[in-house]
Amino acid sequence: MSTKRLGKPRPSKTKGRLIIIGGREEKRPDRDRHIVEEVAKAAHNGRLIVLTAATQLPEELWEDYRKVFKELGVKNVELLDVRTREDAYDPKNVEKLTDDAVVFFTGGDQLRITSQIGDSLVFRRMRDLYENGGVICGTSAGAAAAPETMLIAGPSDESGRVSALDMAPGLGFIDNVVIDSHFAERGRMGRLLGAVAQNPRNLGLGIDENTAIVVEQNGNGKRFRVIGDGAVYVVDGTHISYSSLSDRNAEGVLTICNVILNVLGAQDEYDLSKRLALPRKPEQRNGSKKKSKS
Amino acid sequence: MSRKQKGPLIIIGGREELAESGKRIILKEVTQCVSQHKKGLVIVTVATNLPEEIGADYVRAFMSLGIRHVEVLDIRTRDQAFDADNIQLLSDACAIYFTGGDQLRITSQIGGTPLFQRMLEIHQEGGVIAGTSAGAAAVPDTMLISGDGKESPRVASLGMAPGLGLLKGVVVDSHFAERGRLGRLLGAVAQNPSNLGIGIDENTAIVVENEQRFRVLGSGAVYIIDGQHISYSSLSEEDPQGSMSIHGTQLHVLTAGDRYDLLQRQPLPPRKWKAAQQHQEFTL
Repeated sequence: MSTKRLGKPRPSKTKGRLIIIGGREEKRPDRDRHIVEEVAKAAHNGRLIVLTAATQLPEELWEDYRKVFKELGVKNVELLDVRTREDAYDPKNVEKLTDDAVVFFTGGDQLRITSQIGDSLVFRRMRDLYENGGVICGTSAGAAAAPETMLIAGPSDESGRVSALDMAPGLGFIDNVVIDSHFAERGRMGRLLGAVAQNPRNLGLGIDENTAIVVEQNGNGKRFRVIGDGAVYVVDGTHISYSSLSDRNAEGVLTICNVILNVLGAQDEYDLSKRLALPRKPEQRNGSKKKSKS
Repeated sequence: MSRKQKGPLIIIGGREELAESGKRIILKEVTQCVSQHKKGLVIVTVATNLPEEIGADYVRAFMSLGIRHVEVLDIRTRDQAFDADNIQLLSDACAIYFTGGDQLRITSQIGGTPLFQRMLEIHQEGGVIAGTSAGAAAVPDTMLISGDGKESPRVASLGMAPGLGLLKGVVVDSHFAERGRLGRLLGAVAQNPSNLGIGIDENTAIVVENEQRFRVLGSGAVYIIDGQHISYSSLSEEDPQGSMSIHGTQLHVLTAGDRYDLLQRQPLPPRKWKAAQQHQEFTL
């Protein structure tokens, strides 16, 4: 079904690219590790900055990622260990974000990311890099934090309840979407539907583990392509004909009619401004797996 | 054959409240159907490996709700479904309740037997057929028998089998949100989008009237996956392990009090069905 946007989104001409990962991306060298390869490719001629603000275990995560990206041939892999707002204003940390830097947000707690780096000098520098064509990557909490609004809490494995959802302002690298990670693995459809129903202007993107979207500018809008092993769920509330959000008590489960759901697999593309799923190109339908193994 | 209207189907997503401390909305619905006919209720435990325990739980629960005649039909092998005494047990029944367990046990042990024929007659004469969990999955023409929860749809992981055929054109999955079964139901719908996918949460049920429409009751949600407008699916071209692409599915999430028209494939949330009722199109 074609889904025409009713309103026009604000035009955005950012040149940068986002790699948004649903968590638990494959890192082992003897497996298909498309996602970390995609990140390494983006950082090939520059520096990869691993930002551990989200996690309570910065040393461990940093060690894992340093090893993986070194294996994949990234020459300069650096840690940006921001634990406090003070760190996020430290000139030494800001200077790490050189013009050729690719930033990678690890998982953890998305609220730690926004509360510690929101509007700081480190963040402003990152935004400048992104607007001038840089690449920002985030996994799990780092994925959830990318949009202007982020999901911060909500129960998994149950249907959407009015009271259960918590949203907060995110980093704002991408507009008009809400992102949830570990999607099928943690049964998060209920909470993403709830988030979309709160304001159907936002498209819901649910990303499975070891799966990612690569978001790029396309004309006046943005487009993404799917990589990895799982699926990406696009919850489009443009045509919602009824939702009980405003007329039921907070404990009640939500009624939502007429949501368009697209399940995208590897190599599928999605046009965010037209809200249109595009099948993978015929030449990619067969042997896409073989090709990406090389 | 009687010219009476067929009885309702009560299809339950599993873990319906049985304890007196709970609201027991679903069991009360069954009780109401039974008391209209002043006949008995038969609990069919064929799906489960624990027929005594589960049967006794339901007998206790329904007795406490005021049903006088509650029997357990304990079928363990196919020959028991030809046994005259067992068929006799159904002679005075107006309601049949399939417990949870394994849906393939239901169809393999009673499918095509005189016992099942008798159940069909009860339904055709206006009796209610209820099923929970495996008993819910077995109701349609085609039933989902396996497929991983907590995973996106993959061609290889789905198992389907012929069901009891009490409701056509749908595939039913239970424990829906609780076990993260969206992926497998999407996969089942993509296999043939002429089937509507119905995913029912725990302690939630649909009451299907006349095979034409249903209403929702209980504490969770019912997910309707309508694939008639699917614009692209990778089902036929993908290697079986890969994650499937399914574009343009329509999804409705319905909760207690909502209704759905199976013929028109239209949800009727409270406001709409009240309007429809005024036009006397719906008399539920």
